[in-house]
Amino acid sequence: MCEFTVYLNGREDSDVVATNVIKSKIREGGVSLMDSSGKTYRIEDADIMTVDSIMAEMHLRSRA
Amino acid sequence: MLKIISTGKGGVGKTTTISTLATMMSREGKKVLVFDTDPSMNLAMTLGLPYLEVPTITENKSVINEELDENEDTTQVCREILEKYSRLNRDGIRVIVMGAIPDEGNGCLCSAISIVKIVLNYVSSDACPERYDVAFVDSQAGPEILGRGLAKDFDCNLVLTEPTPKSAEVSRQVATLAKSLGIAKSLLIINKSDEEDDIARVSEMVGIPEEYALRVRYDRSVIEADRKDICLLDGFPTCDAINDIRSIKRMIEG
Repeated sequence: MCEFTVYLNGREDSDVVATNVIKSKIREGGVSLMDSSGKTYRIEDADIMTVDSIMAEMHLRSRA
Repeated sequence: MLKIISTGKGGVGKTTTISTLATMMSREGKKVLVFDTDPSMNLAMTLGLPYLEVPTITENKSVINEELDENEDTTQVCREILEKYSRLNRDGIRVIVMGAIPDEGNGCLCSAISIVKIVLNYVSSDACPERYDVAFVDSQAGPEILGRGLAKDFDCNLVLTEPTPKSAEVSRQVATLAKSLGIAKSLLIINKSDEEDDIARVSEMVGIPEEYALRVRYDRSVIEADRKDICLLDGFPTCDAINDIRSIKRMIEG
């Protein structure tokens, strides 16, 4: 399923910031995410490092 | 809102069962919404809507995506999807068709399924002014639809199968996935059944207890209705298949 689990600064379960993510954008220095229920998330001061369709994972790194 | 999905191998009768149940419930005064997430897209036709008159999510995906980009609040987008890309049939059933992959090499159906999930979440919420009593999802063949998480926390999974080991094996996989998704109730529907002991035999193969299994007897009326392109419930209202589908309805509601 092409919905992403999004991790921040790591690959452990505790690093998960959102699941079932269908849309992400770099916006105003952070990353905006939308999941498949329509809920949106905002991760401040972060960059997208990896988008992996095979594993359905997205990795973010904090600049803070 | 009661949320019900039909699952199983191709050709086991998912669309016929869902469309008949939806029609029965709508004629009783319930407000019914159906999603056709099978790329074969037969549900709308079975409900009497001409194939070409029903827009699909996949053919309008780019426009929907732009609207999602512009609106972080998806409420308005979902209202527009229901307004623009659904149709009412003559019984007042609202029909949304997901559609097929529109062009060769144009990827998978995941994004369209995601849009269906957003709309399902919206119609289940207080933000939706239309209060639907029941939402049905007619799924594509096989267990994959459950792997996509579409039916998470649904009230009922209608696991359809023919009384054969191959068909039952697909249903066994479906029933296992349904448990892990937290679907409240799985009902095993043994369709095209011509022997009473099918219930015991197939229940054991699929792993759903006999008390949650029903037979829909093999009935030529179903083929005849399909051939004449008429609603089974209208053409043969007292046939065996209709009587058995009424039993399914009672079990869902009971």
